[in-house]
Amino acid sequence: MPATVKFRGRTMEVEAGTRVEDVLRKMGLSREGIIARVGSRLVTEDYRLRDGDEVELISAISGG
Amino acid sequence: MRCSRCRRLAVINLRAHRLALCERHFVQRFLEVVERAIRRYSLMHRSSKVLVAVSGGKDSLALWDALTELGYSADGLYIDLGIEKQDYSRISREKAEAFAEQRGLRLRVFSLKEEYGSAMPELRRGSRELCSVCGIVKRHVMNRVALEGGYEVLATGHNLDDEASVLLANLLRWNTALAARQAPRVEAWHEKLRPKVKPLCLLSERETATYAFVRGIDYVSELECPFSAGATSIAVKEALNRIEEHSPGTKLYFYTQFLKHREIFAGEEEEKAPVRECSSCGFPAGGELCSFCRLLLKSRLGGEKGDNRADSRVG
Ligand code: SF4
Ligand SMILES: [Zn+2]
Ligand SMILES: [Zn+2]
Repeated sequence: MPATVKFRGRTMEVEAGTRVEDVLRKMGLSREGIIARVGSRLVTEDYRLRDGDEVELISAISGG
Repeated sequence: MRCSRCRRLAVINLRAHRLALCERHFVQRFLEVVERAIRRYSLMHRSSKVLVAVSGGKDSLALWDALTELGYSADGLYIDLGIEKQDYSRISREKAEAFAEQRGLRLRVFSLKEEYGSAMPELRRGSRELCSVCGIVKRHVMNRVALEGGYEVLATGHNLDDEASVLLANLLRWNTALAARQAPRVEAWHEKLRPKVKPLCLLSERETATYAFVRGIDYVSELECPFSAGATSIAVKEALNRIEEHSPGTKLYFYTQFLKHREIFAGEEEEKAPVRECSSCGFPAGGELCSFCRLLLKSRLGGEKGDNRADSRVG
């Protein structure tokens, strides 16, 4: 069972072992503008996803 | 990654400061930086009675939380703009109210519709962009509530990314008049107005989001004001974040060095028109009516009611 990554209402599957920073790079997101949650905990960009992890990327940037 | 202070698992990596921090040490540092900004830029006194403008978003709620943690006496002000599109006003109001209730804090809710009979979309009627109307309305309401409630300072949740991106946008257009006015504390220029302060100006948006998360603050996240003209400001923020990726610390350096050298823009401020008092509400005005009362008048619906209200409440 791979890990899943949720961002802005979309979900995608990611292989276990991938780092959060690789996911961000692939999605073209800057790590300066995102926080990443796994379960109820925030993780840093070097975190390697494990099988079954549910990761949510939360945008920190607001307009206005 | 482990906390640089206690070796527990880190929740954030602050490359600009070469620091990774666990929850506990992150919160501790966040509060220290808020306090540092308050002292360094003389934002307010320990005993100041503060009114925090809260929108229901992460920054303003994080600010209110932090000021309270630091022992400041801070009440919140939620301005209900009556924006029904996407239920924006209702949802953000609920977030602000829930936050205040959980923490036993005092939230003042000011509803445009109840006070003046017109919600934001009606106030725009026929003129100007909504956001510029909204700016006029918020400024007026904040000052009015602060004056009537006996608050000394108005605090807003502007963070480092807000400040650095506005500065960059102003400099890209060489709008030196606007740059000259940008500061963590903007003084009041009339006795009925209050100084405005930005205690989060040294903290990045990622830091305020992290703080809101670890403090368990439930905020309006995915929902932006449906009228947000935010596309440009988001583009500038993203550009700054690209630079930040390559050279961590750039945003903070750019902003704090600007504040150090602000005097190079001195004298660029636009002259304020001679001050009169608005014949309707008594607040400072450039002409017979202040810009807020002119909006009310134009929206017709709210015109008369608003005038009466204003007379009975201020003076
Ligand atoms: S985006 Fe514009 S209309 Fe919406 S709250 Fe902000 S200033 Fe007001
Ligand atoms: Zn620690
Ligand atoms: Zn007026």
